[in-house]
Amino acid sequence: MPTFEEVRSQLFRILGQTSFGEDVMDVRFTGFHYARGLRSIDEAVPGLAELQNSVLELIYSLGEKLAKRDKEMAFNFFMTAPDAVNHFSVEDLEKWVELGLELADAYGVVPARNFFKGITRETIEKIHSHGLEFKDVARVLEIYMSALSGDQLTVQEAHESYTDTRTVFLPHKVEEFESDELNFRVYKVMAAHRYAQRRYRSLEPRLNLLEDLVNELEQRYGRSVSSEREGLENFIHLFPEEQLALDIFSVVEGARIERNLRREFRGIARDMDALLEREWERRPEVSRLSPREAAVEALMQLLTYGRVKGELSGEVAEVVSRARELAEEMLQKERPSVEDSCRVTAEIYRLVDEKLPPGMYTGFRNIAFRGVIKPEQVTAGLKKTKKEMAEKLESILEELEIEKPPDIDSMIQHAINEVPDPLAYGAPLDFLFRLGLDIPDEIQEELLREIEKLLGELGEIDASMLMKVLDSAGRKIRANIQARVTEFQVELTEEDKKDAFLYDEWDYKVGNYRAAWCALKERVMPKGSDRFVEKTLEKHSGLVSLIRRQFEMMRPDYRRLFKQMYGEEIDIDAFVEAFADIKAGTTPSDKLYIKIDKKERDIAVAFLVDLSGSTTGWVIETEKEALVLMCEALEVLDDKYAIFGFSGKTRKQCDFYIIKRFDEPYDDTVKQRIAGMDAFDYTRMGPPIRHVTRILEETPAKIKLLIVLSDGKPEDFDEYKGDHGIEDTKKALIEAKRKQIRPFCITIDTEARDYIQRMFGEIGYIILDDVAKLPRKLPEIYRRLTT
Amino acid sequence: MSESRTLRVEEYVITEEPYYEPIGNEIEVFEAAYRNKLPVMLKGPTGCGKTRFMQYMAWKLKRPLITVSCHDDLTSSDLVGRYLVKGGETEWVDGPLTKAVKVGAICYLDEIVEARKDTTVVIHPLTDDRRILPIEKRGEIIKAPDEFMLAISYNPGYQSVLKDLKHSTRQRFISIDFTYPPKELEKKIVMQESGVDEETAEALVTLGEKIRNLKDKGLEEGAGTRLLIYAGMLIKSGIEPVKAAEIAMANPVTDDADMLRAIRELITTVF
Ligand SMILES: Nc1ncnc2c1ncn2[C@@H]1O[C@H](COP(=O)(O)OP(=O)(O)OP(=O)(O)O)[C@@H](O)[C@H]1O
Ligand SMILES: [Mg+2]
Repeated sequence: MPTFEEVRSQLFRILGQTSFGEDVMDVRFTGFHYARGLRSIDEAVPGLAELQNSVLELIYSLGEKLAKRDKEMAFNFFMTAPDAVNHFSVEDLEKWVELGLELADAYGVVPARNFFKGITRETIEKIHSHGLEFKDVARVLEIYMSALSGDQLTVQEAHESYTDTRTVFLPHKVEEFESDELNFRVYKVMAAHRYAQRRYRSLEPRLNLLEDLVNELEQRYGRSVSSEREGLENFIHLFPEEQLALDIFSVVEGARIERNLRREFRGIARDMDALLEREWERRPEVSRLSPREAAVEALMQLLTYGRVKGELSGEVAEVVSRARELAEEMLQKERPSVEDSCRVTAEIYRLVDEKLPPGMYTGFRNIAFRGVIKPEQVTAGLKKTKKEMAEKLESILEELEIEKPPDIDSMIQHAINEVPDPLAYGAPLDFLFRLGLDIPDEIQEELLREIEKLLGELGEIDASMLMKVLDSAGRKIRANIQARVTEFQVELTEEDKKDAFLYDEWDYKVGNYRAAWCALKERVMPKGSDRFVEKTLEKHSGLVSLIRRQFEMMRPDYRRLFKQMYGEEIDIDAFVEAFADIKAGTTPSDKLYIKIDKKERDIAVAFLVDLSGSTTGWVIETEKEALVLMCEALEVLDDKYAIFGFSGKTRKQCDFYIIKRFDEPYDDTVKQRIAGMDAFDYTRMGPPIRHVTRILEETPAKIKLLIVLSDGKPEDFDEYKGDHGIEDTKKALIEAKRKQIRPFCITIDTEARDYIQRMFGEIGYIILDDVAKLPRKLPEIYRRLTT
Repeated sequence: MSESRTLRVEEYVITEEPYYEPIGNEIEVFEAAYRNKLPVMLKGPTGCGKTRFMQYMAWKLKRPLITVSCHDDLTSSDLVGRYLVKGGETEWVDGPLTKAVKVGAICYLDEIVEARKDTTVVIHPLTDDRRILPIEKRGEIIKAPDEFMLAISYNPGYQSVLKDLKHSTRQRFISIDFTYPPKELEKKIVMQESGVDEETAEALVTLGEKIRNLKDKGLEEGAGTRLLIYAGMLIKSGIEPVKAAEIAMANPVTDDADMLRAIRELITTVF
């Protein structure tokens, strides 16, 4: 064991001083300075001197690490280390130090110094937790968010939690608690809080409603709004101390949306309370902060907890109490808006700015689950939304054959601003009128109903909500008004026609077919790697056996057919009925037997895979994996199946790839062809559908299925797009149905609803929101379709 | 005996006004169809009020309502009728369809897709302007009185290709679309039917709305009004709201683990 002197000299070497400040509780806060008592490093020595040399070495090296950041933090660490050794393993000790350093990074050295003063239950929990990673709960959070926001927000991982109004960013990892269950709650509350920012439109104050205030601020601080910035960023930019303004805003606005959230979602309030309670301990004491920092922190504490940690000096206390009054007055209103929060922010900012010396303002960290606000990201997000709106609007105008106005963007902005009461029933329709859209009467009512539904989801109208309105307006208009069609045709040469199957194409404008219009060429898919199938099976081994088991259950089993001409047993019901018939004097049926029969499954299915350029990469690879699983499953049954692919460039060159013919076995050749599948050109859907129809026609089976895997609209490089492509495809499918073929489409285009329903009918399709699900879904869909 | 095994027939004249909240103009459309002797198809997701609507209309039009829940063993004699032997004597027993035609009732074939195709065709002659029902066994043809009406229900959620409704059947009906009621209305319905207070009803409807957002995102069918009412009833009889919602609204709609988890999180967000 080391001697007292040895330990002392090591500490001195590491810390470079013999005593450290300690807060003296009853010292009066004088504004900028506060006195502290002194503690000698000697106090740390006795405990350490009890430790094994090997452990001590580790403690020294960890202490050194801390000392580089802050000496006092390291000193506290040495004081507590002997106790820590009792609680922690070597790894835990290291983690403890890491946590302290992280805390220092996030909240500054003061809370980090406190952190090392002792070991709390929380610290122990945190050290023992491995943390919950975003990727482990991504899907659940994604579904959660999609349900909450009605598909308006998606989730993604990032360094911090914030939202740009389109995507909610959540941290890579949460290790607040030991249990994953509790860590998940942190994710959940963060997600709900970001959603609240959207729902109560925190990030999109409408400056046109704040015109007087904006003018005033522009004059007072000499800064101005610009069209470069959107919503919140513009507002914050009006203040010279942008960080201070943003922090005040986040406190005031945070209180507003949390009140709304609590009122509307009782459950989440419970979770928030639990997290808030835990965070209280970590909040800094206001007496340790510079005046402006103290003011913001105290305001937050008051609005959140109703109390303040530590004491405020006279000036600061006055400012804070006035600020609190302003904020609470606003919160008392029936329905405070973000614009109200902006007004209060400006007033509080002015108070702070005029009454409290600038001192050093290093910024303020809000409660962790409230995340951060990134005004520049908000601008980026809103700009993107507006751009999409402009595009949608343009396409509607085009459909309506209205001349496109020169400045569509300012038109949209104007319309957004002009909607007088965004909460009024029909406000979005008003928005459409203000855009100068002449909505046909018969569409209006339908639109209104849809809008009402949207309003239910979002509560308040914001830019992306209006976008949905545009979406549905577009859809309705398209359905009601026949679009213009471009006249553009390609000549088919003799060369094109050679070895080709010629197919007609439907021209819906003329209401007739263009005869022998497309040349389709059959090609055998080139072989790819022979390892692909193997790898896929390895990757999905669990799934493969599950699917196989499920498919085994679909195998034809024996069943009793009632009322048969002959069979193994007498059908008593039929017999009684016949007897009654005889008695009644009518001709009885002679179908009196039960036949034990193998239930027939006489099914032929053709898979037709879209190999257009847009499927390049991850989409096609996943489709291939799905096909492998599908084949494995089908091998269990006696269903006949074939796999084809298609792609092409203009009507002269519709390529039809053969991967597996009906009469080919699922062997190495086929496996290699699956591996060889690749993305090529465009999506002319009509000709390949007609070709498969021809093939299926020649295949004997009672039930014939055509399953199309697609990722987008029918679209070719020539005039085969828009309504023409859709109508021709629809026609080709009708032709197939006439030949008793049942088409079904699986698409991963989440925007597909519009057109896919037109082509495949109400029940003839399914939209997958995520390609990754295809390998699981494809066999499942097949199973459901055929049982 | 065989009748009670394969059929669930409820025949009655509804004397008390059933509780029904109109969602659009479905009542007028149905009345117009009735006046013009047109058969009607009610289309919509499960649990959105189709059956209740039929009860209401039967009451309003003062006709008895005969409901048949279709299933895949349903034969045409189950609908039309058959001879039975009783104490050595035979007796003809009308099936529900024949009964409805004879008394000029409204006959409601629920979930018609479930029935076998050869069964479905017996309704064809009743659905065009002949409005007749041939009873082969007895060599009779009954002409339907003006008061008789045929209605079927059909849930277009994606189904087996082996079971879809034939176009020749579908196109004989005028169709009325049912959707989930708008928020305020649904709240009212949930309160009325389950007896929960406004706050609970509001929460249930919010939850329903959120779950419906997942349709096509992995859920085949959102939570219908019926499920909201069930949850409400459970709550009313003392079960903890979170538990009640889980039992009535999460478990019935999916068995995908992540989906279930997310719905549970929604429940604990709302309650
Ligand atoms: N508009 C409405 N007015 C009153 N009650 C309604 C209404 N819509 C739904 N309900 C309630 O919802 C319950 C379920 O509705 P109903 O049984 O009519 O559904 P359904 O559409 O027939 O469903 P399924 O397709 O599963 O048979 C009803 O018992 C009723 O309590
Ligand atoms: Mg029903």
